[in-house]
Amino acid sequence: MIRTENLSKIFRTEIVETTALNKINFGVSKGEFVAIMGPSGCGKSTLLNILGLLDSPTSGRYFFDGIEVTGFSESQRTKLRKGNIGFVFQSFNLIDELTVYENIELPLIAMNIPGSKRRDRVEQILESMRIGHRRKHFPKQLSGGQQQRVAVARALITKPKLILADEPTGNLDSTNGEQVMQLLEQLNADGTTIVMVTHSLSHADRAHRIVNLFDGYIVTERIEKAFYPVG
Amino acid sequence: MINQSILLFFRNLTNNKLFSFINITNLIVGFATFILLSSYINRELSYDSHHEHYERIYRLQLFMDQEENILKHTWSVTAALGRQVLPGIPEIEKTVIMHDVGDNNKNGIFLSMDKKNQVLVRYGYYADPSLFEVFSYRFIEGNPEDALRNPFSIVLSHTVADKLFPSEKTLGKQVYGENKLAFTVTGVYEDLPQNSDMRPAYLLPMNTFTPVTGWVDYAENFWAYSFYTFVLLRENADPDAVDKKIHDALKDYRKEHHPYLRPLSKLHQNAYFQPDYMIALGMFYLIAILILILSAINYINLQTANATSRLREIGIKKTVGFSKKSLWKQFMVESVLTTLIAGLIGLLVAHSSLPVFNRLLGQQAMTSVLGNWRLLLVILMVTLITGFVSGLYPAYVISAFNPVKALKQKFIEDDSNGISLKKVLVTAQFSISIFLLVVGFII
Repeated sequence: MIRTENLSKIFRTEIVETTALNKINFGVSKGEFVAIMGPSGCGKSTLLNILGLLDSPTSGRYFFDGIEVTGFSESQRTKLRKGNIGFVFQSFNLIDELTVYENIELPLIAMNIPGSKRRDRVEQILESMRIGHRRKHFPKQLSGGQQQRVAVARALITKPKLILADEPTGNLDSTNGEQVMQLLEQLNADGTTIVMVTHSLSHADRAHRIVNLFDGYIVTERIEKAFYPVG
Repeated sequence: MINQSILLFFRNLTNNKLFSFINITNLIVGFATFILLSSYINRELSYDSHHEHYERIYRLQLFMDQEENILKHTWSVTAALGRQVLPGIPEIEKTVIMHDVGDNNKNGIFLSMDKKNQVLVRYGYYADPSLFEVFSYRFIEGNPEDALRNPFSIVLSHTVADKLFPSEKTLGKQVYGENKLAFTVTGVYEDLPQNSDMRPAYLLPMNTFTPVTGWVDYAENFWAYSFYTFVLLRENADPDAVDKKIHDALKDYRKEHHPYLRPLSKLHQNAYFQPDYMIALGMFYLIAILILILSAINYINLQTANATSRLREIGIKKTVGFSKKSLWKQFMVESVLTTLIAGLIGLLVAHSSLPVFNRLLGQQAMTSVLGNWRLLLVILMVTLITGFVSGLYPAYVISAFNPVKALKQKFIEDDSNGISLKKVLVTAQFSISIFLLVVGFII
């Protein structure tokens, strides 16, 4: 599904040059659940941003669903990301001025889906996430767990090929964190490819494979569960 | 997407009350000032334009080609020109001769309905009956065709009629002048607009001039310069051709005096070919535009500086697939909405500030800024253009945010060491402000 070849990312300022990723060769098959672990500053989020087409590498190649996207412009990356990649963040990243309904609806508006179709899909996902009763509330009126469910709903609304989760349980208590993990597991069981950055080994254990990064390098890869590629 | 942009705009407005207040107030001040000054300038430039034949009406004036005479031009002319010379000119359709009643501009005369309750009235004129064929007077009572035909009739403005005969019909009633002469009311007309070069309070027919003043041969006298003469040219007539014909009309009397026609449209601003007034109006207009530009620059700088508050929203939207173009559109919509709201409130502020504005000018210059639909349309266009132009740079800056940095709420600092638009705008702001301060100090 996604594949990198000698992917590197270097951040340059006037004084300092930092290599966040160093010739990473990384791949995820369709339907796989991969967890990325490592200490702070090892390049996990940088890798996730590149995989999510939010950023571009300094060198190396990146293939998304068979297409090389390395040299894509911002508008090309936005176009590809739309509808294909869903994001779940540690800090939820909901827009405070929009209601639950309007936050979930956002990716559909970006895809220019007409209003009536948007309504049907949002209602469906509100029910499946059990947050329909909160549709008119604003994020500040929700608990952390509820906010993350809204974020997951927003990530799923376009039925993306890939979900990228950057420490999705980082700001949640164990109960809510467990609920979010169960959600992700269920999504994966339904066929969604997931790449998750996490500090929690217990959560990482839910993945098919754990990849450890250190100082921009992949140091270990461990198979946790048997994975049978789809198709 | 537009609906969502509008929704977000109003919610951001209420969620960031202080910033919204400062931002919109800045624009309101700019718009209100622009509207007041534009309305004033428009009023000044549209003097007498309410007359139906505005473009064909001219005033007869004299150019006095005498070195020792400081006064080079005058519009006090001899009635003989209007009675003896002008009728022979085919380009002229109608002629109106007028004269002040009494010492018109200084003391006025007393009118009364019963010789007891006297009302001091200034700006009365004797006038030919053709006055109402040349100028547009809206009659409330009586008929303009014969209102000035009979001697010792009087035609009153609405204000004077109301003072003399409060809430009464006045046609046919008697009005006494200085308790000596009786006049019969033959008409009442609506007061002419404030922006009229001549606003007669009342009119007496020209055929009353001789009985009242005793001046019998005024129409043959080429030496007495105390009359006013207006002409209505025929359609497509060339005023320069008329000027050539009348240039030496006084050669047998005062050869250094040369009559000519001056269009009604120029009488208020530039009757005697001196550009001072137009230069002053031009300065006012420049000031109006500069103040608006200042407000727009303020708006641009405020919006750009406040960009950090929108970082997260932009980062999220870019992440879920909003393109730079769609975000740019969102902020342009917000900018236009902001200026529309500010423009509307500015219009109301301008309207309610009129008494203060009039006091500053020392005259009852305007009673409303809402009455002229053409001007309102211009104001609407200016508002939209201001919103569009002011929104370009902030929309560009905000929509260009890197989504990764935006989500981390890391504002992109302007690290250009050379010329940047922000520096240019701030410099322009200071320059304009200093210029306006200097101009204000001089004025």
